[in-house]
Amino acid sequence: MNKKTIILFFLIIIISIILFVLDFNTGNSEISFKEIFQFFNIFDTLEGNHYLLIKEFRFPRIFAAILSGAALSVSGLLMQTIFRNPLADPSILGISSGASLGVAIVVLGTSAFFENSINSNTVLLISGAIGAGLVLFLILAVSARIKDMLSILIIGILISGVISAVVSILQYFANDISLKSYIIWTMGSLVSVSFKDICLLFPIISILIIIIFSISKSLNLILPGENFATTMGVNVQIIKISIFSVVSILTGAITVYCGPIAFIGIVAPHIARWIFNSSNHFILIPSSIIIGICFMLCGDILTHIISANGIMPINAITSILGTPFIIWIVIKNKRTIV
Amino acid sequence: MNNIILETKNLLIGYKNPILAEINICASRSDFISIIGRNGVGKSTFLNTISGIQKPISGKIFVENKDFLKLRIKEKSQLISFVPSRLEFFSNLSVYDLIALGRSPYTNILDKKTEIDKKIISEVLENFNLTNLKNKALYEISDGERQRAMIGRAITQQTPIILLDEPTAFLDYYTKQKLFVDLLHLTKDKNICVILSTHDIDIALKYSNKVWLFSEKVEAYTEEEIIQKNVLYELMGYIN
Repeated sequence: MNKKTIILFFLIIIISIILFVLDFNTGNSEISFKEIFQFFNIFDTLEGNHYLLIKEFRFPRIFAAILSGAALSVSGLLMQTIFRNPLADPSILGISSGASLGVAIVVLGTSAFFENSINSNTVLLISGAIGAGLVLFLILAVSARIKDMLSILIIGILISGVISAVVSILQYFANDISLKSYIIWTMGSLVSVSFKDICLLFPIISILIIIIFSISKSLNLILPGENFATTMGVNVQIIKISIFSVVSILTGAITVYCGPIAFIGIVAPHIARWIFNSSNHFILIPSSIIIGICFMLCGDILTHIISANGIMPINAITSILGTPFIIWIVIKNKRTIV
Repeated sequence: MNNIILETKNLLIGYKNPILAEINICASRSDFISIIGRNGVGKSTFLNTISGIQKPISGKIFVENKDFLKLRIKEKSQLISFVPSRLEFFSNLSVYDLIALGRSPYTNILDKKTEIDKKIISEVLENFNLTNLKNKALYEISDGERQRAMIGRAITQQTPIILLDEPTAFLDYYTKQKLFVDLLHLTKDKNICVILSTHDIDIALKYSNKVWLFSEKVEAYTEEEIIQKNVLYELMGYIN
C-alpha cells in the first residue's frame, strides 16, 4: 500500500467516526456527547433513562445502519466483480426481491390461512435468506449456460418482475394488519432492529466479511476473466459458490431486518474505485465497507432531520442520495470500469 | 537427457464429441511451436485443454513427466501459463498490477510480495520496455503494448511452458514481427517452450522451429517439411 492509499483510508475512517458520533446525537431526545462517551466507557457507567434509551433504541439503530452499510456494499462489490458489470447489485439482479418474496410469503401468506401472522424474526431471517438464495441459484444456473452478462441482468430484472407479481397476489389475499406491516417493511427501517438482533447479526456479518476478505487475491484474478483465473491457480467454481452464498446470506439478513435498501451496493463500491483508483480487492473491500457505512449513517441522520419522529423510510432516502450517482456512472463511464 | 517437456497420449478434445482424432504430440524445452489451421478446427480448444481450463474427453497430458490432469490447480499454474487472445475485462488495472498478478501462484493468501517477487516484476518490466508505462491503466495503452504486458505477465509466472491463443490477432504487421522476435528470444535465453496459435503463417514459419498443423488430425512439421510437402495448399483452400 502506498502513502496516498493510507491517507485516504485515514480520511474516510475519520469521516465515518464523525458521522457515527453525529448519528448518536440525532434523535427524538437530546443526548449529550458526554453521555455517549459514558455509554462506551466501561469504567464509568451511565444509568437511568438515557442508558436505556441508548441501549434499546439508539445503539441498535446505529449498528443496524453500520451493519447494513457494510453488508450491502460488500454484496454489491462482489456482484460487480463476478458479473464484470458496473451496474450489478443484489437489488438489480432480483436477489433482494427474492428476500422480499420470502418475507411476503411468511407475513402475508400465513395471514391468508391463520388468524395471526408469524412475526418471529428467526423465521423471517431464514425465509428471507432462502428467497434470496433461490434467486441467486437461478441466476447462477443461467450464468453457467449463458456467458453474456447482459442477458443475465435482463433475467434478473424479469425475476424481480415475476416476484413483484406474486407479492401483489399475496397482498390481495392478505388481511389489513399483515398488509400494513408488509408495506411498512418494504419502506425500509433501521428502528425495528433490537439489541438482541444486533448481537445475532454482528457476528454473522463480520465472519462473512472476513471470509470474503480472505479470498481477495482470487477476486483480483477473477476480474480479468474466469479462464485467466483458472490458469493462475484459482478454483473458480469454489470462489463463485462462496461469493453467491455470502451475498445471499448478507442481502437476505439485511433485507429481512431493515427492508429492501436500494443503491448502497452500487454507490459505495463505485465511490471506492473512484477515490482509490484501484481494482485491488484488498483495498476495495475495506474501503467500500467504510464508504457504505458513511452512506447509511448519512441516510439515517437525514431521516431524523426530515421527520421529527424518525420513521421516514430509509429506502426513499438512499434512493434519492443514490440515483444521481448511478446517472453519473452511466454518463461518465463510456468505458466500463469495474 | 530427456528434453521432452510436454507430451499428449491419445488425447481427445472437445465438449461432448471429439473434434479431432486422438492427439499424440510432444514438445521439448526451448521449442517455439506455432499451431496453424482453419477457423473452428480446434486450436483454441486444444490450448484450453492443455492449460487446464477445459477437461479433455479422454487421454493423458504429461508435463515434465507429471500427469498434468491429476495435479492441483495451483501446481498446474506453476507449470503452464496462458495468454488469452484478449482479457474479458481490464477494469482500472495498471500495467504494473497486471504483471504483478503473475506472481500470485507463489504468494500467500494476502498476496504479500517478497523482495524476490518484486525483483522479478521489475526485471520483466525492464525487459519488455514497460517501465515507463507501468502506472498506465490497461485501457490507456495500445493493443501492441497490452499484448506485450500480457506476455510479460506470463513470464512473471515463471513457468517452463507458455501458451498464447492468437497473440497476433489485433496487431499490425510490424508489431507482429516484433512480438515473434521477443518470443524467440524467450525460448533461446530462458529455455522456455512457447506454443501459440496463429493465422500469420508467413511469420510463424519464419520464427518457429516447429509447426503443428491442425486439420482432421494433428501433425507436427518442421519448417522445411511444410514447404516440401505442400501442406499449405490444402490449408489455404487452393485447388490444384
